[in-house]
Amino acid sequence: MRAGQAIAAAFWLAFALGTIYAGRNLGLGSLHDPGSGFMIFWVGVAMAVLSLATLIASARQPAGEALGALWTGLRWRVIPYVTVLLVLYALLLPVLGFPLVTVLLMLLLFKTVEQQNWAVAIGGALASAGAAYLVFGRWLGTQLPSGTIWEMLS
Amino acid sequence: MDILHNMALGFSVALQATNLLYCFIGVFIGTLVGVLPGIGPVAAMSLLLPVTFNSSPEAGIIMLAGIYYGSMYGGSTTAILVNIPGEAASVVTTLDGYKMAQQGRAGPALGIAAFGSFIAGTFAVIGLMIVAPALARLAVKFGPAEYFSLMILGLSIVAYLSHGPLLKALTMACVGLVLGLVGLDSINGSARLTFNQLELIDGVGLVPIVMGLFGVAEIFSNLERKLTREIFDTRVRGLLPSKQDWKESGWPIARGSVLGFLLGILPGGGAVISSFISYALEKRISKTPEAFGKGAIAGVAGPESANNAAAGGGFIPLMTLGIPPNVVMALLLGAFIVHGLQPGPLLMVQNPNIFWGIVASMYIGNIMLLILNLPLIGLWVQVLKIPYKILFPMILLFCLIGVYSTSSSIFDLYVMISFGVLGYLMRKFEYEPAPLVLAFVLGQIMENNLRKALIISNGEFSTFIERPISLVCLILAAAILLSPLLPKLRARRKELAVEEAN
Repeated sequence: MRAGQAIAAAFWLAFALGTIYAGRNLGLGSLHDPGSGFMIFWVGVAMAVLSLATLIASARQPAGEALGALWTGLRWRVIPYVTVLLVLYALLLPVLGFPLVTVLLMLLLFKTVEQQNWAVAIGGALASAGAAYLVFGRWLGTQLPSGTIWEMLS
Repeated sequence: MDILHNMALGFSVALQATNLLYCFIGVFIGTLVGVLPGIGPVAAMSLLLPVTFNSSPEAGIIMLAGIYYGSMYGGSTTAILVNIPGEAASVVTTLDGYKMAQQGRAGPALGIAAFGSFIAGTFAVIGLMIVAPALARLAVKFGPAEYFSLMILGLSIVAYLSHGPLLKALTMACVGLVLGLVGLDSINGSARLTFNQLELIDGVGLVPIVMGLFGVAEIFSNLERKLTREIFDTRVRGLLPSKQDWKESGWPIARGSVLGFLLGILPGGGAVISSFISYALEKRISKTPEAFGKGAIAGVAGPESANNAAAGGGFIPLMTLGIPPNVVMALLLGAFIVHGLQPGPLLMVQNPNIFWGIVASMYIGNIMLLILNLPLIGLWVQVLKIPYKILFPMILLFCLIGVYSTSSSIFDLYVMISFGVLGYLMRKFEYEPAPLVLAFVLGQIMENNLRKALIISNGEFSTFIERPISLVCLILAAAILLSPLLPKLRARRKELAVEEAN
């Protein structure tokens, strides 16, 4: 776990350094009249100190298990798979429209993540897309995307 | 007499048909998300935040508040019948509640959880009525220095009470503060950290961040391990506790109510911690501590009362100081702001109907919950039987469309997905999301108060230690942050974290 902790601390340290840089660029102002970057800069400094301390603490830990141990025995492949599906959903939603993309996403989630039979997958996909439409589209009046491709085709 | 007059005003608002309906929807959904493991009150409240856009401010906030305290009720059902806490505040209820169910006493366990929650919830509302006006009068004397120091204290407590190492929790608070400062500078109007993205001019949305960190990340964590649960498959009977049950539960309920209420007021306190402390307290003062963990009804009554009282107590700092003491209250603050209201000492003067309407609705909500939880227990048991493999795609879809509906922005979907992945990795590496979200909400307010305090004092940092309230807050914050250096206190913090994580 030492490697994992060190990687995480290094990530936040890099984030902190970026924050310090951004804060300085925005302008620190003076103590009489603090500028836009004043708080960002000092929070960045605090974050850098904290993540550096975490990094040092992780270096002092015994080596322990490797980073991969965090995912041993778990279905970790599901996470990137579902993430890609969600990103594709966000990409295709304005193009293909809410009904088609939603049914497709739900069908894939039902059928491929937990391997439901076709009847459950199709029924679940249609029912959940319908329920989401009723709640958000009808009840709350959200303008759900109808799909630019259909507008172009018509 | 003032209180009676104010309560009459509050009930006249809360008893309006629309507000009653929203209160019912809130407590019903709250109980539902409390019952269902895998979706908590934070995710549910952010999902339903858009619902409040079309309603009056009081109706929307009544509903969101109902979700919060409703989930405290619902969480106990899952804890007792399935041995899985429906939400974090019911973790300790599993210890004795499930044991009672195994011994054929699921009914009294559910009954005492519901009655204890009702009594504690009512106690918290009465406390809120009495304490809030007094605290609001005091809060009028607060200047920017006091507000800034109080927020530092709140963040310190939240970081201290987090599961993982304190350094990591404080790092997360810093990340939250930076994220909260994205967008237009509220003092001079310049764009900050927007990377030329128009969508970031108004800042990063609270809903996509919360839905990502608490909704999507939770689903990811559940998906990678097969979620199995054994439901206690016997008809639940005899929900009314016996005389002996009441005798054993009376004082735990009373102590849990007071303890939970007081801890709920403290920034960073809240339902989870109060339930653990109540359990530890009951076990320590019990004449039969060996019975705890083996089906002691006091082990259900105390913590369940404490978490409900804390849910009520948490409204005090939000409504009187405008400072959310925990993530749930941070979401409620978001709801207030969406409706153009600023919670704080002036809320009950400028919008007495809203303030007292919300307070009165909590009385009504508690009665609704008692009615919902006892006769409808069979329905909640059926809900528990829905397999997670059917539930998770629906929860994901509602997260996606819920986020889209708040802003009609595809960009927010990417924000939610990114924070979902980040939240999942944070769990892996023991970084807590709660300090991040609370700091995110407080970021702008904190910066405003810091800059104002410095401008007013001509750039003198001593203003923060010259003002007594500010000084006390800073001393307390420093004591909390430095306390892990003392071995005994470090051990106690670890103990609390382990209890909570378990």
